[in-house]
Amino acid sequence: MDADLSFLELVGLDFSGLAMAGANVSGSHVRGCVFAGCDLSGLYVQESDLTACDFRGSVLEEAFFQKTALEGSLFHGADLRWARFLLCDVRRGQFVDANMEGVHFMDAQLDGACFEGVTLSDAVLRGSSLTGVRFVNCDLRGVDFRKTNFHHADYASILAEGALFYGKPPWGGDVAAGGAAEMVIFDGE
Amino acid sequence: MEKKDLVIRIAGEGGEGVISTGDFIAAACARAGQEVYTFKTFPAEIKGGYAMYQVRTSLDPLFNQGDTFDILCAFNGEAYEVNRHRLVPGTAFVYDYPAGDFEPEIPDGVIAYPIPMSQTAKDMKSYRSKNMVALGALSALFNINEKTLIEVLIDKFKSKGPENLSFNLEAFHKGKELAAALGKKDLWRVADPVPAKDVLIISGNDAVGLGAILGGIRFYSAYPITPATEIAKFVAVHIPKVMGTLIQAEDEIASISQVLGASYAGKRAMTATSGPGLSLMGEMLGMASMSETPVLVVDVQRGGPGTGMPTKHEQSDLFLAIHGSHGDAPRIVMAVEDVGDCIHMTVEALNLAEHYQCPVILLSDGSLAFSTQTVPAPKPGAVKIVERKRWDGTGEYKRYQASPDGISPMADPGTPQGMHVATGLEHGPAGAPNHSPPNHEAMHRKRFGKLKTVVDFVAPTQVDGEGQADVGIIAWGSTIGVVREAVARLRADGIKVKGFYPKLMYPMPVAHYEAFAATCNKILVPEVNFQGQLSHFIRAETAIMPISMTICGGVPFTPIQIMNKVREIL
Amino acid sequence: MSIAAVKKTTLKPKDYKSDVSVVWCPGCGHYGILNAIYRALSEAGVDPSQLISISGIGCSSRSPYFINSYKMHTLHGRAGPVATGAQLARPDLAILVLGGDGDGFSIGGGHMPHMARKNVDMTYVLFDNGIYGLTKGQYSPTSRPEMKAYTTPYGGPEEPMNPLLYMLTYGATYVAQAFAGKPSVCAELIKGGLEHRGFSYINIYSQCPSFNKIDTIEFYRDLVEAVPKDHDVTDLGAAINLARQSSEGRAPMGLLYKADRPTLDQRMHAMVEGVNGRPDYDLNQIIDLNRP
Ligand SMILES: Cc1ncc(C[n+]2csc(CCOP(=O)(O)OP(=O)(O)O)c2C)c(N)n1
Repeated sequence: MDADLSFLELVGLDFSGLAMAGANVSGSHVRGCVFAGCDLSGLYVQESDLTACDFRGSVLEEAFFQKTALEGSLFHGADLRWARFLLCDVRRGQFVDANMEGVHFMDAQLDGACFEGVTLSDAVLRGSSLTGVRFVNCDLRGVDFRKTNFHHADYASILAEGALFYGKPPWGGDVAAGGAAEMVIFDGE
Repeated sequence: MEKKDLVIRIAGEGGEGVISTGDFIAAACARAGQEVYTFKTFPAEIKGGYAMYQVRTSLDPLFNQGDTFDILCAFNGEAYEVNRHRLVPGTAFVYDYPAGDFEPEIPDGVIAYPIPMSQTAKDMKSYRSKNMVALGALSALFNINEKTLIEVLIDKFKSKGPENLSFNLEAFHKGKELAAALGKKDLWRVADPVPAKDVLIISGNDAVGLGAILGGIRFYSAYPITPATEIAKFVAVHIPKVMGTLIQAEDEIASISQVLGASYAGKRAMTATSGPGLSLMGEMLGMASMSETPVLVVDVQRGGPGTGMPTKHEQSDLFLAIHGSHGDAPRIVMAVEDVGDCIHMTVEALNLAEHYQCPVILLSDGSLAFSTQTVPAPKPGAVKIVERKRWDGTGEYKRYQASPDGISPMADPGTPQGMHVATGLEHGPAGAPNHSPPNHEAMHRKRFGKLKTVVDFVAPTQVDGEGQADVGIIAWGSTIGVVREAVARLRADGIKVKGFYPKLMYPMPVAHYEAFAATCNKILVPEVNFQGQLSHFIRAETAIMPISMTICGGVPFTPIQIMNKVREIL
Repeated sequence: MSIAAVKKTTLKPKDYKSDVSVVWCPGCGHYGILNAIYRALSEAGVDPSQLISISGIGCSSRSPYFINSYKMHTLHGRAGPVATGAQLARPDLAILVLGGDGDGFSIGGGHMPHMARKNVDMTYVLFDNGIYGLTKGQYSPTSRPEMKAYTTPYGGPEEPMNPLLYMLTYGATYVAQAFAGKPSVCAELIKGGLEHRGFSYINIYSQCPSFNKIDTIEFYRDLVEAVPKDHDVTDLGAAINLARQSSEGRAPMGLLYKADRPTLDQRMHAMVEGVNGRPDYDLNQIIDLNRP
């Protein structure tokens, strides 16, 4: 519980199956580590390098990543509900079969990532770059696509009711009714 | 009009017992069934300097301090110098002579009573009993009831030991004998005693404190400032008795902030200050408007701007009280007329704050702050306390949910499921920030709209007189008392005048103003400030074009000043 | 804060999240502090209905919106006195104040000494990012002179203040420091503050990647140094010596000082007892004192 792995060199280690809920992995170099099957719920990561890590089958519920490199990491079958990735590099991330309800990618790079068959309902992708992302067979209901380049992704057989976006959607639906869900906006104080 | 009152002015050096002498006379008169209205000025210096205490007494109700004095008692040369121009024929003049520090020139027609106050005290080897010698002389000369006066002295001195009491009584009797030896040469005398009424004798500031306690406050925070500090002194003594808290804050911003915090936490809370403090509170008052949090601020006005004239009377904070915050910030502003108002309008102002969930500013002023008056003793059982509307615990709670009267229930912290935010940001019904123009407008309508019924919640105005009049006088604050007397005296002289006295200053009861003005040919608005602040609001909000009459010499109007002006514009 | 008196629950950290989604710049250290606050509340077991979170204005001052509790989002610099009023009105509740270095030490600087010396029973978590974040990057009382910012294009002309020294000097009874890169340390110190009866001050360094380009997470990592194991937290002199290191390029992380002193509400309560205060006190007794 609450393991402190911050500011460490941990390249290429195997942590698979460990209970590491609430761990702190800030400022560390963790390239190519294996976290398969770990309990990482509530994980806290900022400004770390987790390039090409393996999170397959892990629990990352409510995990928090910001300014973190996760390029090419694997999340197959992981539980990522309400996890947050702020300003993270997750290019070519593999999310096949993950549970991603309410996940939050703010200003993230997701180019080339694969979300095939994933439930992304109520997810936030605001400000993220989505070039070449595969949303095939995804549940995208209520997803916030605002300020993204979502026209450059692939949407075959999707559900998208209530998604938020500007203008015409790439999946051939209607123009957004505009601000369907209420969003709390702070406006400087 | 026959003069039924009597005005005694005592003047001397601060620390010579000027103030206590006045207090003794006022209390003795009240115990003898008289109405009393006093007025005092303290020395601006911390120790010593000119001090003055004026007691006006009558069997009839009194509304102000009067035009001038009938009797002057001067303890020293400075007191004589300051007041000599007012020694008109008929005035009785009691002074320290011989062996005092001055030899006065007695104007023609002034009746002089030289009493060797200092010498007598010196002979008794106690300079401090000088004022007792004067008190004895005044009692003998002007029929100040000796029985009640001695009772007052006993009550005052008994705790200080039998020696102290007998010493003071001895000085008192010496003074009496000295006066008797001179013989009565004028006509001034206090009316003979009648059965005492059920009254208090209390200053405006103490009365605000008493009103606060009766009004159920449980939290008070303030920063010292002339002329409001005594309110905190009164509250500090009594609030722990009702399990409340008084805290002296590090500044007025902190005091209003603490009041807001305590109010959010569910307690009736208030502060009192003067103009400079109210200026500092402006931002937080806007926060109270926005977050719909009940707070009461009593502003005991003084001469401004800047540090201004701290100990002097002025009614110049009306602009600040009504509009002193950025944005469109709704609030309720009331002004007291006299010491009685200080008690019951403080209760009322607390009720208004709680009911309407907004800041309430109650304006008093420097002349009421230190003026003691006889007022009917309040009955705690008869005091009406209005509680804020509280959430009943059912359904989903939204703090700023719209409602027909604009008032949304509050939830005291600690209430399960009542968690909510009090915020200074514009917000939606649940308190979340919301900057959309339609929401901002709807919320403004809610916050201003709820104030529509304030005119029915309190008695907003009073009309003095009936039928058609040549001149209608609109007065606010302590000027009302002066105008009441001027109106009565003018009427006795056959002049058609009426008075109109708003107690609710904002929201302005416009219909009441206009209905009154429709019965008068001319409208005169006397007020003690330079700009004519109430006249300004009248011109802005009503169709009335008033004649503004302003003075700003740091002292209240006298009835004569108003009467002369009315005659001039007739 | 006297959470001893406050109703206890066994909620998880995420149960303290409100339904307002957090809006700070990606990369902001405030996320870590908020995360720590959730954990501390959970570990201390504070019932959300028994907690008032209070803030002024600033990025950090938005925190109460994100916490499931009673909350007040007040004016720039005024969270402290508002909290003082709320605490005195309801000493049975827990009070948590959250805000920035500008909010607390610049515009609100006049209030800080008084909360400390009066020992108002609350936990004050100051998000110290050495910058005014919300107004887009002006120097603050804790900015280093090397920082070039909005109004300091040539660097700062001023020396930064030392919040720990300040708080120790003015009599705070719990003084601690951590940085946002170590949320579990933050959580432990905040929990300690919540459990401490008296004025608890926790200074937490937080990187502002948007505007403060020199106080990065790496900078803070190298700046902080754990309080030595043998440090005696009841020794004010030793705590002051540790706090002074901040001015020499090293900053202590951990609990520096803890003292037991009567709180303001305890002293107020003693006053009430001294006069036999009671809710149904006969007001005629007060009225009668004013008869002639
Ligand atoms: C009276 C007043 N003056 C100025 C402001 C503008 N203002 C809002 S936040 C802020 C500074 C915030 O800095 P800090 O407290 O350090 O918090 P941060 O945003 O860095 O978390 C300023 C100057 C204001 N809201 N009110």
